[in-house]
Amino acid sequence: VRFSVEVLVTLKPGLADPQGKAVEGALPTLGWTNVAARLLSNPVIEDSRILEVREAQHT
Amino acid sequence: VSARIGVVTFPGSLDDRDALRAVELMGGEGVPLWHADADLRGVDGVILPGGFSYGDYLRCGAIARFAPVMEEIRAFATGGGPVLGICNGFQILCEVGLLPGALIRNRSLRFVCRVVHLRVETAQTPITVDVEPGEILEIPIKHGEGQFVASDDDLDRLEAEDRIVFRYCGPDGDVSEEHNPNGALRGIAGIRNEAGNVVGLMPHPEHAVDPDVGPTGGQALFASLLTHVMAPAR
Repeated sequence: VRFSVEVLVTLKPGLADPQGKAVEGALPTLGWTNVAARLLSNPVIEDSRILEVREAQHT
Repeated sequence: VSARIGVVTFPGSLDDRDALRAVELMGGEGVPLWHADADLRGVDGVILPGGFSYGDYLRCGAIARFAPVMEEIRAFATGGGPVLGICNGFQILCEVGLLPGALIRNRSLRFVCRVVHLRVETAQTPITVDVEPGEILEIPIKHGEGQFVASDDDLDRLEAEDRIVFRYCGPDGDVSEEHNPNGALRGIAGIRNEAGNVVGLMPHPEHAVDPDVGPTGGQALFASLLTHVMAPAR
């Protein structure tokens, strides 16, 4: 049997998250789609897809 | 009047001062440029230096492409102005789309810091106009993400259009996997755009101009650049 697994890795609360800050800063100008397709991934060598958009529990 | 070569400083750039110093050592005028200023200060050529722009937090060069200065550089490049991207600068030029392909983690997964031999493949760039194809230069590399990759079609096109500028090689100029420090496809260390005015390379010519501190393979490249920008328009 073969399995396909998607893993979600998150930083523990309270840790500095420079990557997250970069994404947060880019969201207003780029929007979700562009952040996924242009910032978080390099379209030359990578594909990306948004799995889910939901309201954040806290800020 | 000497050639004015701008060097962009991004937050996290490391080699901007060495690049400015190399320009001056070779007889040009180094002009500091700032990432947040959409102003190239009337320079004759632009260097995007090595380092870790914006910490490279997301991916090498991924954030620098959105810097205000990059719009100016894109326009400058489109107008035929010489633009040289070194290491992180090469990564930025690929991210911006001014050069094809991408730089990914070294095949060894290790950071590599050593002097390599480079074979010059074409004289059709601002930094190789005064260099003979086949000439071998000693220049250091220092990168963790220097493996050049592109689609087979892009690689074939680069080769067919004489757009591979440098290949990693042995001391005798032989290109083989043995002399490939990062797994770059087809041994590619540097490429140019179609017009030839935009060049990116992983090795650091700015660290190879002073005989007191190492090899001098970068001298010929800076000399070419300065000659090129001072030559009457062709």
